[in-house]
Amino acid sequence: MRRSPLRSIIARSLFSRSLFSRSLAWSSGAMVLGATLLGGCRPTYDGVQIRFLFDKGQRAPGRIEVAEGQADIIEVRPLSSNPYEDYEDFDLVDLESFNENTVFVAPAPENNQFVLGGAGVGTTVLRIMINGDEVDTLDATVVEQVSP
Amino acid sequence: MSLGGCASTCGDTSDPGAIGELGNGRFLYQCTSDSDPVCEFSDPGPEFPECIALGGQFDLEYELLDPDALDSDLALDPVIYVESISQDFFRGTDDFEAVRTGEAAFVIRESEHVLDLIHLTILEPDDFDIFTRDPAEPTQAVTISVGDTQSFRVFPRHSACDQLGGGIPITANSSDTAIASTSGGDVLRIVAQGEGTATVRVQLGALEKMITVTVVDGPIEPPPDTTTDAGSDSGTSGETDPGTTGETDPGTTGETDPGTTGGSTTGGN
Repeated sequence: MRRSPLRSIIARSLFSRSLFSRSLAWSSGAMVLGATLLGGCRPTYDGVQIRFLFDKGQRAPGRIEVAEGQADIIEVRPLSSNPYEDYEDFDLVDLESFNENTVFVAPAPENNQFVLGGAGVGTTVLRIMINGDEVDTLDATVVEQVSP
Repeated sequence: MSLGGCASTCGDTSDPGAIGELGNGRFLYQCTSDSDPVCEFSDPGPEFPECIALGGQFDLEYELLDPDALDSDLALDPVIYVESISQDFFRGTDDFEAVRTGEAAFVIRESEHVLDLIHLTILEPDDFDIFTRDPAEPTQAVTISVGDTQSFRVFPRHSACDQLGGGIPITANSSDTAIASTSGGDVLRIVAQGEGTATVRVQLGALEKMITVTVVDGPIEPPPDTTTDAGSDSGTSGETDPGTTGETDPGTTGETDPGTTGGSTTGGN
């Protein structure tokens, strides 16, 4: 699991307390408290749940697959490890293909749904963005289509 | 030369189309070739093609069922276009050509969004028909007068697909170009050069067929059950006197049957 930016802020604050004066330690403590409170108000990314709506693609261990030339609709739901705050519909999920000549991906009209297409045989990576921030990557493979 | 059977439909929407897999609109099929089986009949075909012929050329358009139902953050006046998911299967951006057998998708794009999609199956034709025009009938032999040109549509077929789409350019060559010369492309054209009999080889992809071409010097008599075109001013129909069919000998038109009033029109009313 990737470390969230918020946790990175907390870690830096704790580190700074050992280097500066006692008064700064109070400030750092306040920052930790503030960051913890802030952390309680927003979801913490803990992966995505992907559902194929058609039967053209499939999940494989550690990656998703689609046959070349074909397209499927995937629904992508981000998961939060924050027990007090989950992702909501207004949290914008976006997918971006590193190589559009291998995997085509574009948002569908429905929220959190994407068209995943096999443009060419191979493997590439999809960037998962939430509210404009890259939170994860996902391997995507286009497998050869066996002609009838 | 335009072909009567296709001229009225090719380039027009051939049928109500096929609803996209996301249900937001319908895909409309368009013929780009006179020899597309979807445009075989003068009336629009009843259905969107079930499959596309390998090598077949065609066009797709898309019509939103309810533009107002789209998400409000999409453009108010969306510019939508059809895009092939893989150029390895359907090549092209305007008209498309099926270049590999299998199943492949088209998507409807509007900016970065995909509004709909459809999968089409590409099959390699296992047969083809050569059709005369007016009347449109399959043929393996033809008789042409010296100097005349006849055009034929060449429809790809597949035994597992009744509704095959896509026109495939053909090639043709003649066993004796002094008797009959040929040209291929969307349609087969045979030009009668001189009296005699020649064999024309027509190739559609890996398939080929032969047509026997007989070139005669002089008018050709139509089959006994063939009538002249409606609106002809010959005054007689073809069945009244096969020996004096209107278009073959203008000098005798309308004068061969004393029982028919000269100059009257029998086919127009």
